[in-house]
Amino acid sequence: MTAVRIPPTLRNEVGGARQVEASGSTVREVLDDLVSRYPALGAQIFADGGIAPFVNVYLGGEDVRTLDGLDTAIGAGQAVILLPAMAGGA
Amino acid sequence: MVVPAGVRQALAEHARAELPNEACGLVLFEDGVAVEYVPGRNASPSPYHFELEIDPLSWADINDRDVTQAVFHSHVSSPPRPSRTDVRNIGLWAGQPYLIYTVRTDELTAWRIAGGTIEPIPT
Repeated sequence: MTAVRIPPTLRNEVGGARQVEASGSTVREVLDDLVSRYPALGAQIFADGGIAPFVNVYLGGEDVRTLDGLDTAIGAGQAVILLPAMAGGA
Repeated sequence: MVVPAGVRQALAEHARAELPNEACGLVLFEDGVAVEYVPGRNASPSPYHFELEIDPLSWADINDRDVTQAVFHSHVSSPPRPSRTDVRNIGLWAGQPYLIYTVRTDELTAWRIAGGTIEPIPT
């Protein structure tokens, strides 16, 4: 099982949990498993078959967009971190 | 929300240090009082844009603390009010505290952005 760390802005979708466990060998499989149990999370983290623009997904401290995206393999003991993607400006 | 002088000074100094570009970070609140400023890196450095980058492990640890977080960014000279870009990009931060500091006028303001509307938070 892989630990997925949930930011406060997504905790309503997972019953208030700070961290949940999910199964899978890739980021996609882990997030799919998570969404199967917490369907409301799906619209927040997935868009057009990829990672939604307003969320960042990290594995081992790296943004998975800079790795193999949703196909990034998860190593033993690695946790997935979900964080808001924040951008804006004047 | 109250931002005591020490935290206000920290974020103002960060904003000045990043000139001519915008600065960004997180302000942590306990019981409505700012207790810490966590400077971030502007991953898209520009006088008109910010993209908040904070070490993900550090941010995940902050997420496990009993604090309220406010996303902070600076404007170089435009008024400290959310721009259309801020409203369009609010994403998962909808309804959460959002601080803007204008370097030119030394003004700090707080807002909530949700559903395309902007609401000031008294400071």
